Amino acid sequence: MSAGFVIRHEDYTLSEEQQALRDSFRAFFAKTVDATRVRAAEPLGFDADLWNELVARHVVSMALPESAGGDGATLTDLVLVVEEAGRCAAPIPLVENLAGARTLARLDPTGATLNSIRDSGQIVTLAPGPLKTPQRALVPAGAVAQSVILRDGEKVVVVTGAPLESAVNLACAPWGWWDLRGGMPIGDAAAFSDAERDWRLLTAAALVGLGQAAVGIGVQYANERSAFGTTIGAFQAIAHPLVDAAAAVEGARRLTWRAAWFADNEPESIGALAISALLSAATAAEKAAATAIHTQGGFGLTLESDAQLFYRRAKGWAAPAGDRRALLTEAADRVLHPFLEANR
Amino acid sequence: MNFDAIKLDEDTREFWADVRAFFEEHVTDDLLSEERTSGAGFSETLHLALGKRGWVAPRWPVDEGGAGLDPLRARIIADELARSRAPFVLASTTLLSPIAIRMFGSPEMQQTILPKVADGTVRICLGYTEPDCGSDLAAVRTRATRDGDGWIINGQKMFTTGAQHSQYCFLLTRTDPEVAKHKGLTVFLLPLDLPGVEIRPIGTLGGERTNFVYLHDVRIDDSWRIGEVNNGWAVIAAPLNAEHSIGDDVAEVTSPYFTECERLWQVAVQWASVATDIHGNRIIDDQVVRADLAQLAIDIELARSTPGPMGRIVCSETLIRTASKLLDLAGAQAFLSETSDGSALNGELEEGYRYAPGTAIYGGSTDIARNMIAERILGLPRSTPRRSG
Repeated sequence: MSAGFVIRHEDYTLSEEQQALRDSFRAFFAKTVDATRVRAAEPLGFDADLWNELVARHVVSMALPESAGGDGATLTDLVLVVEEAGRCAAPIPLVENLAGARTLARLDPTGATLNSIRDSGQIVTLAPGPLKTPQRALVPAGAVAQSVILRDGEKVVVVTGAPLESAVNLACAPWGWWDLRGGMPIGDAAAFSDAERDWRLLTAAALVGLGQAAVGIGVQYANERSAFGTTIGAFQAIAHPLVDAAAAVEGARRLTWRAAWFADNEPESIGALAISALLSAATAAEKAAATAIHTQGGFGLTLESDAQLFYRRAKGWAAPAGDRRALLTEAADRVLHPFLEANR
Repeated sequence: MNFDAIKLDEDTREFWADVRAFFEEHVTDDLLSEERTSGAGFSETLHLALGKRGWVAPRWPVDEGGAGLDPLRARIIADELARSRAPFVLASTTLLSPIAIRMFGSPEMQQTILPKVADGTVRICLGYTEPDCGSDLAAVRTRATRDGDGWIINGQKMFTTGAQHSQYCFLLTRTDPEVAKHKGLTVFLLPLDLPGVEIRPIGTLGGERTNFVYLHDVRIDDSWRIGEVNNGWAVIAAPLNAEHSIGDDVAEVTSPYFTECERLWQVAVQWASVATDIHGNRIIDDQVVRADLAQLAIDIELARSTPGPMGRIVCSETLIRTASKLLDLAGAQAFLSETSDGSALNGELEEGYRYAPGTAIYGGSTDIARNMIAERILGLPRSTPRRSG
């Protein structure tokens, strides 16, 4: 519906370059990361060899602007890459590192932290705020990071060092406890909203990948398992939940793409799209993984099934990017105020 | 990938202003009120006014009675029509059968019918569903038997929306009961003024009127047949697909279910921004209300992003949930119908709640859509049993 006289394109097609980028990472991850490798990295959730391999493939420098020694990939490009990592539940802090690297490129492009990330494969992450106890804060990817970006009062700061200890968790993600006091300021607090936006969208992309893989697990089982004289995928009670999961994942994928496009091209108009993408992707990934487990019946409950790997990560990967209540509160502000202003 | 605002040249901007002015002039409060009462899904004065401009079928060439418009300008007309809240059901239904008439109809039929579709004087309703079959369309029983150089038709159609304002019915009949169900069907363009045709109204939850069409020994000339005898399944394929059409990104007219969802949300937000609770605080400042409105807005963005048949399901089910949730948020006064004293939001939310369930059924149910997606997109086996014969 057009309130004024504005119509937007609704073109979700990928360019040839984007398809090639996605396809090359899809092939790499499919060849390199199977469920065995994911399990081997548990409970920490970090595969150092895999990380080094990806750094050598310029996955981090790709994300930096040319002025900071990178290839100037757009957020849309990175969303495509990160989904492929999500599809195999890759045990690497790609989301946090890319979001953090982009933030450093904006706020501290010549600093030592960005250099170490680009050149030595060091890991930066972000801490969700505000912090109740900064002396001991739970940080996603904190167990393997060398630096943490956070909002501290009126400033964005970087804390460099090491975690106090790892925090074993549902998702087998490399969370860690950090003392986040005394960081070095690199910008004003307002700059953190771009960091959060990138973090939310890259998280959404990873969740879309997880969800897509979970749909695949459910569909494969439904096509192989027999009961009552037929493969069970012929029963609508099995097929329809898989359809709903696939629809939720596909919608979340396109919503994430659209939000990333706005981040790259019209950031002032992004509104609540990044939050919408994150929450939609989180819901879709959880629904898809739960459906995959249920489709597999008793087998789905066993640790041997890969479905449980995706189920735990669908919930856990979504969590650090913001608690639901805070995200909905922010989404309400972003959506309601402009609508009422425009329709006085 | 592109979500940019389309740059409009001066000509197009003027065109748009002209279109908006047209609907502001023709879609009066009286017209909307009449639609609320009749539930006809059609306004003859508006339809003929559109026909005069070539805007009933705006993409048809000018020499066929259309306006020869490009997808952008056709989209502008569709958007403004939606914005005006004008009834549209019969107008859009009428454009489905011409697809088949062009593919399979005789040159004479095309010359007789299509220009009148374009000028608005001919409307065509769909005779598909029957009391005993809807989703299982191949099982239709309305029978057409040979009679000299014509046919005699007996049977009944149901949910023939718009029949009372239509000149023709695009009619699916059984012509051979001996072969497999989908191989014994024939399509006719049935003039509704033939002897033996009886139209009876059906009232619906959503307030729209639909119809039974009873056919008792209706004699029809063979010249009204569309396509070969017993090839009816192929004849209806293109119009059926068009009911779920996907065009290029500009021409892809936003689903009316989605538009309604967005509109109800906006109506509720406007109301909440002025309505107050017993303490005098604005409803929209309540944290629970804000969280609920935010979640609905997120669901709406997801529905906007979901393509094709998946989108058909998600838009409809999001509308059903949104209509329900908004009614809960607004409270008792929103349940009062528009004409009731003390009614809030002009009864829009209660009307939306009654309208919503039909969207999961009309134009191909969500269950059929799920079956299609399971088979064609996910590669799961067919679920509906194959019949023998």
